[in-house]
Amino acid sequence: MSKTLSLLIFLGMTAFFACFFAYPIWAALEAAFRGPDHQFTLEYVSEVFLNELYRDGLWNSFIIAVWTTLGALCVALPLAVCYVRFAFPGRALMNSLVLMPMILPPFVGAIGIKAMLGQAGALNSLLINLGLMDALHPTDWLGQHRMLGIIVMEVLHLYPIIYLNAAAALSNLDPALEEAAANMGCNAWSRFWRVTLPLIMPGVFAGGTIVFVWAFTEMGVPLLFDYDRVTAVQIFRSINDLSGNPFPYALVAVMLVFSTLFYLTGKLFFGSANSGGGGRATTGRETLALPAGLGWVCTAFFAGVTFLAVLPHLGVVLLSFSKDWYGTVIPHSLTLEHYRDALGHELTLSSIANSLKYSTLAMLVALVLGTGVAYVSVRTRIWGRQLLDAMAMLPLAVPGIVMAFGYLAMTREGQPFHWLMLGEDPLLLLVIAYAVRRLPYVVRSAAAGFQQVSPTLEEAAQNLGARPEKALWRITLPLVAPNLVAGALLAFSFAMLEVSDSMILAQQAAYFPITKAIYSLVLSLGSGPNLASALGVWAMIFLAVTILGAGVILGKKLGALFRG
Amino acid sequence: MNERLTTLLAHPRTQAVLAWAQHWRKELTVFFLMLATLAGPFLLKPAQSTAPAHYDRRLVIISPHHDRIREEFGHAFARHWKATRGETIFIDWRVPGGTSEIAMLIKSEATAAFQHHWQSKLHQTWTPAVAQSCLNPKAASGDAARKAYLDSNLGTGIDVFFGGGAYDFEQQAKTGTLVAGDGEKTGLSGLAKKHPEWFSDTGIPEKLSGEPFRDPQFRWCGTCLSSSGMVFNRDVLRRIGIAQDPTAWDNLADPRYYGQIALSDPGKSGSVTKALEMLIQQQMQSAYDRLKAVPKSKLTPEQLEAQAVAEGWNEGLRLILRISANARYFTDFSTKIPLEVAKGDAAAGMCIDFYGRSAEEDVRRVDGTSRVGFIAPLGGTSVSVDPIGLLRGAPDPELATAFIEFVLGDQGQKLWSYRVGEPGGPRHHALRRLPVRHDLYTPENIAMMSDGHEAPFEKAHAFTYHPERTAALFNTIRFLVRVICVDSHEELHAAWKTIIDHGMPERALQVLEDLTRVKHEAAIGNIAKILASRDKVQETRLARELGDAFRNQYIKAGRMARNDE
Repeated sequence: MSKTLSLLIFLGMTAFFACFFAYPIWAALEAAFRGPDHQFTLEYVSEVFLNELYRDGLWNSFIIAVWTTLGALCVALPLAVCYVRFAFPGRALMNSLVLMPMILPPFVGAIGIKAMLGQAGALNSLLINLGLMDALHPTDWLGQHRMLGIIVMEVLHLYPIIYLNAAAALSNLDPALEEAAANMGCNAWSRFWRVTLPLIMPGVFAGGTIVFVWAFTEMGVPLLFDYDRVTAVQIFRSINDLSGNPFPYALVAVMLVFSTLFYLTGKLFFGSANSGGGGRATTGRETLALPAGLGWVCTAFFAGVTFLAVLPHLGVVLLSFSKDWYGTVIPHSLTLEHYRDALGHELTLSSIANSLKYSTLAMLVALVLGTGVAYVSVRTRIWGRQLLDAMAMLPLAVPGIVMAFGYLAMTREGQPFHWLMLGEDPLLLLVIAYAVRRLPYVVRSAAAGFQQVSPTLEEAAQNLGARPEKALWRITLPLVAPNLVAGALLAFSFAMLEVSDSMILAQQAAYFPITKAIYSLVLSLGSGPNLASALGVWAMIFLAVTILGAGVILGKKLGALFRG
Repeated sequence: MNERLTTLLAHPRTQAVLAWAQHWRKELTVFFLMLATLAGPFLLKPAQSTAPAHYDRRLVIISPHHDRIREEFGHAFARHWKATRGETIFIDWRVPGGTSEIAMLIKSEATAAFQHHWQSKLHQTWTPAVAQSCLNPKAASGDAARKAYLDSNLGTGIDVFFGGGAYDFEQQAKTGTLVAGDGEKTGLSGLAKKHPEWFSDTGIPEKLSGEPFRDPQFRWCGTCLSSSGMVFNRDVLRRIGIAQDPTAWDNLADPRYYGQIALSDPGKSGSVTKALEMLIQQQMQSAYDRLKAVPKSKLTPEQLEAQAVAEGWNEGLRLILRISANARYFTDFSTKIPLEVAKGDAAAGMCIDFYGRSAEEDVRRVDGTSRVGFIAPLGGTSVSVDPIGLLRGAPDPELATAFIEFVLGDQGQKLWSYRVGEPGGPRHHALRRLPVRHDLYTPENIAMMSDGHEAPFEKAHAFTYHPERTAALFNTIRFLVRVICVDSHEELHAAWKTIIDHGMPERALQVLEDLTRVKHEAAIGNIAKILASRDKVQETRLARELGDAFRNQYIKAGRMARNDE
């Protein structure tokens, strides 16, 4: 890539970030450091550390993040290794199925989980029927083990991120390296630890960081478990009930610093292990055909993880059909009424159209920006590229609600960005908000791709006379296409499921995206959770068709690209 | 026929189409599957909509009311307007959350509008002082910014504020965001001229048993009645060994309810704070009755009142503390309370009457019985209103006024209260609210209401609301309950469990319930002062100090209970 183009991308990105990331955060954070007399003060921030509740909140968030990341790694790494290394029955299908958790907003999943784990819920009914529990003293799972519940829910929701990254890294790995190690007499176990794992570290790191920071700042799941000793929930609750209070903003500042620190620490320890490009596969990888028994063990492993991960979704499906699910393992009377009410609801049709519009545009914006950032940060040596990379990751560390308030503040009448509102339509604002928030996924998957595709290939093309842009366009981009497609799909589905920006920025029913429609259905009296589940099931089917469809259409090409 | 089909199939064009389909079959399958998914909502699209693509006029309503109320009122009013004026209207509901979110939204929109006006129309500099005083009812009378705001017709882009508590509407009216209209055509002042009988003691009284029902200056008016009470699940009650349905607030403090009470954060919901206020009011009243019954008391009436208020405050807080200790946890929305109770996740919860009654109706069995019940404790709750009001600078004041008229008129009042299917009643769901207009409680009307037999105007006399005793403490209650119960719930809940398990040792209980730090004197003194100063630094410091002290107290009480055995 020519220096000019790199610089252009760098400057463009910096400007975009200054306007749509730094400025809104500044608009929201300003209050944390500004005393009543408009002087800089650290008083609020220090008050955060003095307060036991806030310290507890930070500590709990940290614990949740650590366990979620470890849990997700334990689930995702073996899956990825099985998928890439072995041939087993239903391999392609299983590969799609384990990604299922990504297609349901966790807050809808939580409705399902709550219906199943209640005192008169499905799990207790099952245990009572089996004679394992005293009907007079059912366990209150949600009341007593909320932290565990949150971690389990987050692991089951987030492991696909690590899986996708690790699988992409593994399939790009040059099998010759492992073969060389094997030739030198290294056994399978230490080969994995000493050769494979260090080589796929950028990919695993990419996924692990996202999961860690996500779990650290996650708001939806703890909120649905009504667990309020977690920093994100504390921010959300205090922003809501005390306007003009600087402490939520101070908390945001603290959270931002911690998330950035975690990210940088991770990068220092793992990220640099293999940044020089491990080289593209020089020989094709043969998937090992397992003997029938072991093959089925692999299949069962995938199926088991999938089943656990879709349990909340199953709860949502059952809830959407049930009249009154109470004290039985499965609902005793079923009805289609909720579908009629939910799909026929005034909000539904327009919210679906809105969501499609917002998410597609946001995906495109994120894809263009993310590829640019990843390329500049991996392939060029211009000053500040690391900064650019860190900048692109920052949106993960900022709770959505803070960004949302920032966006709201900067588009008020009389403010410099008022024109973004297009009258009353928040289209541009939501597209930008979604794109910024989803940028990290695209950047990480693209960066992993660029890291693994050796620059020598592009250099070879340039030696043969191709202009740098052409070499990028014809050689590197096609090679990293699977990463880009994966990143874009992630961006699209997460944009469809985004909650915080949607809650704050879409104020009028006509502009509601589907998540806000679901959320307002949950709160409706009586059959609220059932209606929300019905719409949630619809959203799940739609995203499944989209993602599986994309997989089917791209299937062959995708597979071919994976194998180089 | 068969021949034709064969020739048709053999036709080169058909063959080409088939080959094309064959080639793109994957893509086509995916495409049709997507189409099928999208078809569902299209086919089920509501035939009649309050959000039409083309409309003549738009009415913007901000409301914490739930879906069913919005749906019924939206449709009924749109139909009414079409029938009387022939215009299609678009009812634009803004639902940012509970009353606290609405207050925040109105404040920020109004401030932004004023900032624009102040800078670009009045050409003045925007200072923090101006931002502070423009919406501050306590600003100095000569304050230029405040005066400029009150003289302006600066809007928030919203026409009507519909639903919430009288307290929130009083605050908005004081701030100046609610207006009375021109006294002729628009606003409640205009309606008072058109329908004077509505705004009288036979219609909507100004006050009932101490509760304000409408603003004497016509900036807001109640639309329907509600009271606080307890929703409970009989299955769970029997399981935890309670044979009787609860009848009074203090039943919920029974240790058998441990981990089985559903509560929500009073900071989130006006209705929960209202219920807690009722509970404290009842304790104050019984302290008053108790003190009054003392023979040969040497207290002057003022001293008697003061002592009753102080004792009742303490007793009320103690009760709230115990009920909170029993709570499973605090949810963020009050609608979750009846849901959790109906699901069997909690034995009982505090909520507003129509939530409880709707929950009862939702799980009612064929034989008419229900596992869920609701009771408004007699003498334990006042009857209060859900108001409506015209916002300053409403984009379409005429339409807004027509909507207010519709809600207060016979049609709207019937919509609140009638059963589904009765003439003039709701289409899909009974709203289970009671009309605010006393003149509508005729035997014929009552027969068609879901809850007409509740006779709220008569029952209201069992409880007199004394605003002077607690109204000034509304925010203090919110704050204190948040600090000592919600934020410290883990410690409180655990200590309470230890105390129950060790046979309720007296000393430990005393430590747990030591309320000297928040006694009435402190609540109306230092605490109220800090809250009123709007100094968030001081407020947070106070919250931290109180919270730390109470948490330590709870931990200590738990330890004592263990050691006392």
